[in-house]
Amino acid sequence: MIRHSLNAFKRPRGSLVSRVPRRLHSVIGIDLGTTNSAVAIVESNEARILENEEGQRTTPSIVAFSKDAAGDKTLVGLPAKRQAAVNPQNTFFATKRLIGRKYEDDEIQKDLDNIPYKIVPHTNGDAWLSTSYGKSVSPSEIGGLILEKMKQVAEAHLSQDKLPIKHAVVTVPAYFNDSQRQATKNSGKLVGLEVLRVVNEPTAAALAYGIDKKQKDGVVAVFDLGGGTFDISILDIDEGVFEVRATNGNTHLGGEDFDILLLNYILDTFKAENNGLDILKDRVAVQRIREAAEKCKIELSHVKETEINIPFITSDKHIKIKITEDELDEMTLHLINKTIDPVKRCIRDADLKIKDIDEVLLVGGMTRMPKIRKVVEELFNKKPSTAVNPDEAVALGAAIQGAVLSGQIKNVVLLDVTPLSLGIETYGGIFSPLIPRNSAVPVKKEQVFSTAVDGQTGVEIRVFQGERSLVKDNKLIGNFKLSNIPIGPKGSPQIAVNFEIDADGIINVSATDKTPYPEDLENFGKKNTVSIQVSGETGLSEEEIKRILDESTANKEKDAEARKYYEHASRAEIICTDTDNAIIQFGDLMEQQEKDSIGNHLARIREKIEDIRSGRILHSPDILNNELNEMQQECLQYIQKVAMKQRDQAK
Amino acid sequence: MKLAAVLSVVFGILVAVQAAWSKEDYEIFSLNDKIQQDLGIDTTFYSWLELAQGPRATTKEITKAYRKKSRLLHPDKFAGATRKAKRDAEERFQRLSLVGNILRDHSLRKRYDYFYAKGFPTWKGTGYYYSKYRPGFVFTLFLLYLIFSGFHFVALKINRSQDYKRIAALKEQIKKQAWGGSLIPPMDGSDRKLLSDNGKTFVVKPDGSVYFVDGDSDDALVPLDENDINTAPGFKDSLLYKIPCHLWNLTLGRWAGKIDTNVVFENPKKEPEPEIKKKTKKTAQRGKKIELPNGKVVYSRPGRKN
Repeated sequence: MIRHSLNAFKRPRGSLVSRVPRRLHSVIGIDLGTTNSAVAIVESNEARILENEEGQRTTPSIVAFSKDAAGDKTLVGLPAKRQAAVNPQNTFFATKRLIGRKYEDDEIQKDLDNIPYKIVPHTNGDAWLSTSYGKSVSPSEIGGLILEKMKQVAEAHLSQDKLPIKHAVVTVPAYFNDSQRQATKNSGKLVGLEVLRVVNEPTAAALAYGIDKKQKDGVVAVFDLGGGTFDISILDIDEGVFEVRATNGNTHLGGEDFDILLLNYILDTFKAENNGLDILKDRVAVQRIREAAEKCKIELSHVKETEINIPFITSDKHIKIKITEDELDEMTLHLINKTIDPVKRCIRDADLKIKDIDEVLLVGGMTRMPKIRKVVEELFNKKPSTAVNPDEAVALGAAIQGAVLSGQIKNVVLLDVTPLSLGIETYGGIFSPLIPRNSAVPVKKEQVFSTAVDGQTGVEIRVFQGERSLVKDNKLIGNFKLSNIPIGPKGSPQIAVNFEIDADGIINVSATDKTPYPEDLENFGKKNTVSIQVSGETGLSEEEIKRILDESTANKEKDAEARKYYEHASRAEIICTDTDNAIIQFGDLMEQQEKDSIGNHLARIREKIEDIRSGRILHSPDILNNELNEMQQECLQYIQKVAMKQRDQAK
Repeated sequence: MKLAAVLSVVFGILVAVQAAWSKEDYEIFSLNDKIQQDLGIDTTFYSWLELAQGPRATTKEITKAYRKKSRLLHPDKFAGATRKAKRDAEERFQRLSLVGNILRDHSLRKRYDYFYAKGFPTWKGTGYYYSKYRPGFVFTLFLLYLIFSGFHFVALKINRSQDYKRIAALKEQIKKQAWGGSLIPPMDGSDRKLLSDNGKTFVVKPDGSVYFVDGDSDDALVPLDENDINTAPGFKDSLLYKIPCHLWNLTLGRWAGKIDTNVVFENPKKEPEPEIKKKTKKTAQRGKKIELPNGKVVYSRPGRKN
């Protein structure tokens, strides 16, 4: 965010600050992942993951839209994932890889061919998404829908007196830049959830690890390879102070890249086996292969060999490919090796030797891959710790940070750093850093600007983030124009520009003018009004935010209703499972005809559950309940019969 | 010329020699200023971190102290506070982390310790200067005022005594000429008139006093007396007194009453002026009043015998 402000004078500050915190409502911690998201909360000083209505501890970060006679429908999480194969163009996954990025970015251009949905440039050049029926959505909006879903998951667990949840701590990859962080923060805003803090994922994981009193203090390295991003952070944990020494990473390296690699391998193999038959254009087929590739990758973390088996991929063709762990390792080695350089740079930035690192934490689903574990072990010369769950640590850490902010947890403080250098363009497109990377945040630097020619009334400042020496290789954060500078000889005006990075890693720029207006000007004696104009600002405009907010409130009732259906479906599923168990237990004593009858009931109900979950038909809860009651009564009858039989036998 | 030379020397002393501080030095100075503004003039980086051993503290101790302080001051601890308290906390923490950076960086700490030992220069509008090299504007002005007043006073004294001597010599010379080379006044006790080379006329009285004839008529006689010159000017003649008085007259004096800076000097040797007898006013004798036919009134000339 860019703040326009002009502080004419600096007031001396009092040394006493009121330290009576206003009691905040429960603050939830959300790990907004590329492929999966999780939500956690701290209750009685213990962080725990909250399960979604399907009983899962993580929720797929997938949002699907559909448009039919009944109107627009939005699915989030597992229901969206379930219908991905039939609606690939409108099922948006891994959108975190797009958030806060420009359409022209190399990473986006590379991804264009690998995904079944459409990426379009927005009016400000940002990468946006487009549905098959022409509705355009920003990646921030998708993030917002996922955050809202996680909020609902949390609300289902909390007692009435703590509702509604208004505040959250959301995690981002440590190596995210200003616009990516800003876009993530906006996601919450879009659904009316205030994101109190944006925490770096590896830092959050370290927090979840270090809060445990059983762990001893020391230097911890967090190796976080998730669905879309790679981060490495080195922290010093010391009596509740978590000080990040250095961080590094790659915001476009993760499980998705492994999937794409495997997907292309399968496609190529299929093409070779079928005389050059290309199914790339068949979006449904590609989506099925993608899902199979992900499944295969996960399986290979546990077994040495697996088979990809997709029947009827196109007309009468099937896919049946055997693949071993070694083959996958070899195929993905160049991706794995991409993690080595950032790790080395991070250790160097932290001013440490490898032997100084006391513990290595692995975070992110990809770190389950044995080859990656081996590479990490070789890198650090140490077996990685198994103290944290790679899928859950980040959300737990976010919840802990939330509790710190709400005052629930004291004596814990996170001292995080900015991952990228912040600087300005100087003569000839040279990048001149003002705040070096790995500076503790919040941080502020003041730079005094002046004019280069006599009578100049404006100065333009271009702010960049990155490590390269030419600005064109770094990310443009904003364009500031200082205008209304009082006319004077060159070099005489003194305009102090403050560059500030807050605890979220988000950049603020403000200007203070130190030169008064000269006596012979009509403005003499007035407060100097050098102003900052910002252009090239990224993200959503205020109107866009308002429109989305309006839409989301309008959808709220619809969503609440849809949730009711899902809840019924889940309840029905539990009863079905109970019935299954009953048949297993008493089946031997039942008549075949009785078992078939119950089986029929089960099949009918399961079909309805599936209808509701995929959003095809929303069966009324009454119908479902009638059906369930019928089945339960019938089942009860049979079980009573069985009981009678058993009694007779006992006699 | 002499004065200009002296002045340039004075300015040479007054104008500060700006030391070439590095960018890092400037950052240390401004941080030090802000911390002192916030927490009191005696605060040092070490005292803020509660390191009693000051510059002898080890890096490990500094890190420990910095973290301890961070735990107290981190903005997270103020998440529920008012907007202003949050802002203050954030700014204070920003300073704390800079202090942490400086004291934990070997070369930056060396710079800080140098200034810690030798004292910090202070901000003087355009840069950091050591105070002893640069007096303030008002002080400089005051010093200049004293120096100018001193010079002026000395010059005034010299001028006065020169004038005294010159007039005394002139008087002697004129007397001598008027009395025909003798020092004895003429026996007849008459005034002697003398026309000097430059066309001025002097009158020498028999008692030896010399008068300057101002104008053409003989009756405007100005006494020529060296004792009229005050060869020992006092405080009220000096600029030390006159400048403030003039300033007063120009400003507040307009309303509160001006101070008269004219100095009146009484010739100590002057004999009391002989009391001039007041001329009895002659009552004008008016002639006969005649009223003219046109209404005008005229008087006839008195004492005129037709």
